[in-house]
Amino acid sequence: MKIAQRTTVALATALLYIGFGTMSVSAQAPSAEDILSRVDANQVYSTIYYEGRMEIVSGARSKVKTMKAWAEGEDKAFIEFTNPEDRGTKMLKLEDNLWMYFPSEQDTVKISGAMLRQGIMGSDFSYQDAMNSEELSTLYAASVAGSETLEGRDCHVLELKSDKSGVHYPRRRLWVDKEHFTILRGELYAKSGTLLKVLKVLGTVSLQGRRFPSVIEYSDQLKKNSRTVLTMDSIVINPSIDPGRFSLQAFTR
Amino acid sequence: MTKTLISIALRNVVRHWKRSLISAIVLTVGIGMFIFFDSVLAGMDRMTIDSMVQFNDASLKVMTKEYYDNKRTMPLTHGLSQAVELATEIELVFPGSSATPRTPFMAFASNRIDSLPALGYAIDLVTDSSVFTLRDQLDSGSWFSENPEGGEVLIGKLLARDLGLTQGDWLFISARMTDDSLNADEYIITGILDIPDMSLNESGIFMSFTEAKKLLGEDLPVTTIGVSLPRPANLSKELSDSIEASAIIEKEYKNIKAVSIAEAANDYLAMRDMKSKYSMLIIFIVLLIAGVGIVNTILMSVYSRIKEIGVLRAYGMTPTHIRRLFSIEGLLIGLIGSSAALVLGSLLVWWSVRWGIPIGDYFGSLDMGVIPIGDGLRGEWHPGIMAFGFLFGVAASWISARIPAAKAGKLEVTEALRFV
Repeated sequence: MKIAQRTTVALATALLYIGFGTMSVSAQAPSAEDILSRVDANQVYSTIYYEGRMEIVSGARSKVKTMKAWAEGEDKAFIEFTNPEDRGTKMLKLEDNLWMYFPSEQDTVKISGAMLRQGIMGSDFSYQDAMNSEELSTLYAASVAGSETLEGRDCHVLELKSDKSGVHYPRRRLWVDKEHFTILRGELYAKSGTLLKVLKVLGTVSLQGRRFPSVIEYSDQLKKNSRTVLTMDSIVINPSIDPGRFSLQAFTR
Repeated sequence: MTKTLISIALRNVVRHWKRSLISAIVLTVGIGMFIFFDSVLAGMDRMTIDSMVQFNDASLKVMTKEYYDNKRTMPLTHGLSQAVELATEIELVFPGSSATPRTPFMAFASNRIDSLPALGYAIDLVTDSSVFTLRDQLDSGSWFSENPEGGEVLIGKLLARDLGLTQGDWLFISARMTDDSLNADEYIITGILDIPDMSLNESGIFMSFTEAKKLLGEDLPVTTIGVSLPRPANLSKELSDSIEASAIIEKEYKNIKAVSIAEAANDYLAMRDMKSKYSMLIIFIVLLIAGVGIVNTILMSVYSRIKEIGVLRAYGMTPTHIRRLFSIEGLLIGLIGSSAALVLGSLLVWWSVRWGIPIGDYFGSLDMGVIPIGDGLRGEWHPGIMAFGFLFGVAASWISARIPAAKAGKLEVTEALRFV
């Protein structure tokens, strides 16, 4: 066989091999890292604005809080409550710091340390939950634990673990929709393995080519019959936000 | 002449005994209650400070300056390096003192139905009782076992009540670890503490350092050292001793903040000062009423005895003698009233010191902040205030009598004799 011919066969074989190889990879289930990256891609934004409604249910009691929220990346967020009882109450997050402004007292309170574990306005969302906006793929090492059908949707089940300092829930178990790569259910565990909270995504919206979770339910597993549903309306992804919004001065504007 | 005047004044006080008695009773009740209320307030102050010293703040608390700046959030950072050695050194510097490490932390306590915010304390099971008196406050159950099979905790009585738990039940505790991640575990309630400090009673959870390290991280630091100093006879000395000791420690150790009980109780003491101003105002009003009563009594005495005054003047008494006579009458009423007040006040103080006022029966479930009311309110003997009350009563009576006495002194002989 001539050298030119030999080269052609080798090339053909290589292409064939690469082709089969590619076919073989695409037939495999995506890796845990891939799934988590696609989840992050759905959830992560540079800026966001939404109007929210938080329904807090504790036993037979139920209360509703409404709010407007602005956020930029994972470090800046501003929430203004608009329901009559809390109208004017504002919350500012700058990196790891959180402040709350109470209009009746005209007082600003810094919330830090263990106080961040308390529920916002008596809800199942702790300040910590609200502040936590980092990409899951940067915080956790993930593994695929299997597949399950949840609410009629095929899901990947992911096990997330982290030994990093500052990660509030060292272990999570997530049910991720195989088609849309949105989290349908999440279980948040303490270091000891105790289940602390369960989150459910009850609704999503399609925005700028992504499936964004718009109705989220949190339930504190250390309380019986306790849950909080956050519904986000009028969501705007990547709007332009005045930098002054993320400052303490914005409390008194 | 003075002897004669005293004799006449005494006779007049006895002769007009009803009026004299009314004035004396007003004084007795006013000053007696002043002595009693002062004793109760002083007792309340001492009990409050004692409660803070015995259960949470000690005579003084040692921490790093960084921890002090952030102590509101009870961080698990900024711990004391070589805490055991530091505690031993402090004990040597202040004879009769004891020191023990404690790391407070914020937690949530749950019975799986409800979850309540709680104040956790990691304590040294060996040395804690030498500074704090938790062990004496067991309402049910027992102190920590020497070789526990599982995690054991002691909790406040009101926290147990709010969660519907009793001794032997399991309590779920969740808290932030030293690395900021969350941890949670179940603990058996080995004892329920009935602590006079309401904040600890309704949210206090106590566990050994060994268990706390399992929950919060093996690198859990000692963030505070509680130091108890010998208990002096009165509150002022107790406060000044703690301030002095704190200054010595801060001078001796760099980057250390020693929080004296006087500083820890600063808000309460400021409130007490404000309160004492109001109580002095009330006492002043009571004494003013008594004073008006005395003025009225003597004035009536003057008018009912104008003819007698005329006769006395005719016998050669000068206006000064007449003024003195009525002043002595006021003084006698003051002496009788104030002496009776001393007896009444002493009896009430003795009762409150001996038996305590059972206000816990009425206000036991009411949150009175740092004021411990669960165990009855005990008064405190205050000899200085008792002497002040007595002298004030006598002086007030004498001054009150000066007004009608001056009027009597101005009466002319003929005018007085013609008076109908």
